[in-house]
Amino acid sequence: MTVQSLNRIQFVTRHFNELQGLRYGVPVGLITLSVGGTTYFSNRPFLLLRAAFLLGGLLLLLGSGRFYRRTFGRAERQPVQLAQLHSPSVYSPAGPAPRLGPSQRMTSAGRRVLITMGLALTLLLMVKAINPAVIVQTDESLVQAPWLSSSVVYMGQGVNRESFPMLKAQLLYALYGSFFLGIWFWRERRPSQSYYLVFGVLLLGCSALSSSVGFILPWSPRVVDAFFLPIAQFWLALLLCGSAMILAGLIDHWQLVRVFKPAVEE
Amino acid sequence: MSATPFEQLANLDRLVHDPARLAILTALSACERADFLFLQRITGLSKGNLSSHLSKLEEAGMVEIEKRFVEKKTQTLVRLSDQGRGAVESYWKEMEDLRESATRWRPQSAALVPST
Repeated sequence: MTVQSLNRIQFVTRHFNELQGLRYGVPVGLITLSVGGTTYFSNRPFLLLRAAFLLGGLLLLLGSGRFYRRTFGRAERQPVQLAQLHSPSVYSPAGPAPRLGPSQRMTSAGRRVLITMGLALTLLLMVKAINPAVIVQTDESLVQAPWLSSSVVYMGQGVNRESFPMLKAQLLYALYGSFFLGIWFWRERRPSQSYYLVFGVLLLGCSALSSSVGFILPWSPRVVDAFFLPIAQFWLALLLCGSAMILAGLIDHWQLVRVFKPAVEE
Repeated sequence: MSATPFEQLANLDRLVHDPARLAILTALSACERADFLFLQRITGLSKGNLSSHLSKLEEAGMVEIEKRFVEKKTQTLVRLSDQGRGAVESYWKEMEDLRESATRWRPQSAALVPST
């Protein structure tokens, strides 16, 4: 028994419930994919596929808890001591705030996740505010695949109905990216959890890039057409975020399977 | 005069120092309580072995074992007692001290050094 294996036992026990990827990550990813995001995916075959994703996600969400209990057993999370709880406010950096009521407090890890997500969304809104507004017109139809349709981009003013799908994509990237980054902090920034860091940085990068179209467009319309526009599509944002969530869930599950040894009979 | 690393090693709590029991106690120290299946899967011990180690730990007052019926099956839940938690913490502190004193340690007499 090495110190590394003891350390792994301790980590897996502490995060046992969150590492159940088939229970959380995979269903959320499947449900994200089932949204579709463009009229093209309202075709009959895609509609059936989306319904299957949704149903699969819901079934996993409801049924996999029982699978984990029967296969790996049960470990209850340690209750958080009141002295370890912090105020959710970023204006309380001095540590635990004992005078607040229990409902006004949260764990330091939860607070870190919340602060990461808050900072990412604030940064996105700031970039949006200083960025010259652009309008993207997409040719959406049931028969034309969205990856073949040519989008038209031109400088516009403020946020309007036509720029809304792009804003939705940027917000989705920022939300999922900051969530992944927050989970990486939550899981003690361990090298074994670095896939959360990779997904977080990639999705936040997509959010930042798609928010910068207004800056790049006057200088290099070709780069915008080739690279910035595709990632700003809402359906692609759903596909990337959903796939990243499924992949993270599967890696979580694989980590559990790798650490747990088969039940030995006498 | 402080103890040599060998004396420190000899004084380690044998109940905690055993690899299987150390794995059980490490897992229990990271959660509120765990069931028998979880402990069996994470330590890789057989049912009999795990049961025997848990009995020893319970006798020493390091763990508390609760049995209950869930869906007509017996469920065994194991929790680390306050004494057990203290023992695990002091074990790791002793190991850290041991590591430091082993780094500092030099043979004091040439007679203790084996001839080549």
